[in-house]
Amino acid sequence: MTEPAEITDPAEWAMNLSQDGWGRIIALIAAADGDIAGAEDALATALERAVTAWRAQGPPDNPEGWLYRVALNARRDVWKSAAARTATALDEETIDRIDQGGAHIDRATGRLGSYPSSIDSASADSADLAPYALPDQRLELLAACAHPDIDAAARPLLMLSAVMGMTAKQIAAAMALPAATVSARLTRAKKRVAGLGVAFGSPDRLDLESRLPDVHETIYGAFAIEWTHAAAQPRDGMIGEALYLSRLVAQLCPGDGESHGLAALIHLSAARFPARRSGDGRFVPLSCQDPNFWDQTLTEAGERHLVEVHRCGHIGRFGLEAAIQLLHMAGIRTGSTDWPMLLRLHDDLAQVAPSLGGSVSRAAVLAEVDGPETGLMALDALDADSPRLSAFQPAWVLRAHLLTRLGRTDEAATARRRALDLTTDPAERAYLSVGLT
Amino acid sequence: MRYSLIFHAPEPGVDGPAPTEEDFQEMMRLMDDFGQALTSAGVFVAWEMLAPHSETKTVTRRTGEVVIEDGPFAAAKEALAGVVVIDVPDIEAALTWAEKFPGTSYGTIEIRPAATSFVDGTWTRPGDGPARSGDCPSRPDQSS
Repeated sequence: MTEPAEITDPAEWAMNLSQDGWGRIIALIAAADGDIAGAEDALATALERAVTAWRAQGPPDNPEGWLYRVALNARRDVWKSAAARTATALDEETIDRIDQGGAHIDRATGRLGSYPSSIDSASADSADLAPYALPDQRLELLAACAHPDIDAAARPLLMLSAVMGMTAKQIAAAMALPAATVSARLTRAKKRVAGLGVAFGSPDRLDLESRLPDVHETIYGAFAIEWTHAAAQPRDGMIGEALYLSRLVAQLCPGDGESHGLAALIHLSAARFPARRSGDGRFVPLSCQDPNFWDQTLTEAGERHLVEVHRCGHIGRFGLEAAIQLLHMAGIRTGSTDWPMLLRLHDDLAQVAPSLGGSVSRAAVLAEVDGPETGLMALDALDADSPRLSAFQPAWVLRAHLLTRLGRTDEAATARRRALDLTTDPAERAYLSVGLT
Repeated sequence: MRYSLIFHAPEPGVDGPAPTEEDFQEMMRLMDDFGQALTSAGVFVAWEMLAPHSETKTVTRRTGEVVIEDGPFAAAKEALAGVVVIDVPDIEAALTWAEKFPGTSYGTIEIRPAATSFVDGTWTRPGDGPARSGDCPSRPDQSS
């Protein structure tokens, strides 16, 4: 291989299968019996074979179609031998179903033709396959990964693995979890999906729509990780992955307002990440951030998704949160924040998705509209509803801020110390400690 | 107020394969982060991770004379694996830290207030010590 670097080594071609390609192929193969681990094994086998076959014969015109068919064949071999060994585990019916699934693809695209009986024939007749010939069942795969029967903590792991092809080790590094823990959770979750006993290949549209909130929640959870470990350095986590998944759902459900709302929220939040720490690692609160450090491309993408929310005519929790973010950002950029509008959005949010964090934010906005006294009263009123408030750090930060504005310095210091007691992040602690004796 | 974060976990290798060297290093990095955060927050008192049961001796004089034995070899799968002692104002703050303990991904942690502690050559009880200036009320509504 002495060709220039851009002329891809076929082996590298196989290794660099795009995230899109990985998810599409896994979705199609796992759709038959819900066995994600089996589909991943089959795709791994296909990738291995691709290295040899493509080196010998050159890469096919449609690598994804080739990989899909070889992986499907590998999977069918497993089904058949499993059926031969035990009539109960995987019966002829399952194999028929996948065969029909294949036939369906065949009819839908008119391109895949008959299954190759060997790798050679796969590469031989793959010339007329285009990547878009593979039907997209990733929405079904996403819904399976976010299934209510799967451990909530395992759902994002499953998505990253099945839809994006990340290894347990990569996921572990992104989430600051031990790799062994991630592997164990993934194995358990994949067994659980397979054990659901449902092929997720053909749920009806309505069923899929009813499961979208779980999909959204999982993607948002992957983005807004509540870090389970204290660390000296801020972690970026899985911003890129969450951006990808949120765009994917919005692309698969272009008419769903909340899918765009989620994409808008994640893009707008991610846009501000570079500005949340100063050059020397100090914590910078939103109101003090320099908009020049916000990522312009991500901001614009977020704004576009918000326009789509509007077009869809349905705004939910994520759409509202995205709109709140955008208003805050516009306020900081222009130097004048539309607080009354923010209050209305917070009121709507409290209706759709009440939460302690939302209520505390609302009290902060109320203080800007009607004064710190009113904000403080709103904060006090929360206490009656929530015993968790005394352990909720943001409530103490806000309390300290409002008391300072009212000139009640001693009480403000007390509240700030309390916030400090409940803060584990060193940069945030340093920020809160300023001026405390 | 001192709290002990008492960590129980499976003995290495008892519940499945023992962690690899790589797993071990990874967990050590996370544990180190936790220790650094405790230290920078000024709440750190002490932290011991314990050797396995096989290296344990017990001493008793219950029968009147000194008996030193190997063990205990408890039948339970999970064993005492470590103790972190921190000094924070109350149980809510202690829980905030306990939630961040990396070992919770493979074991459980128990949070217990100290009844009395032997510090600098003398017994101290919670409340005995010099109260920190501006000690906080436990509920927000007492602050106004």
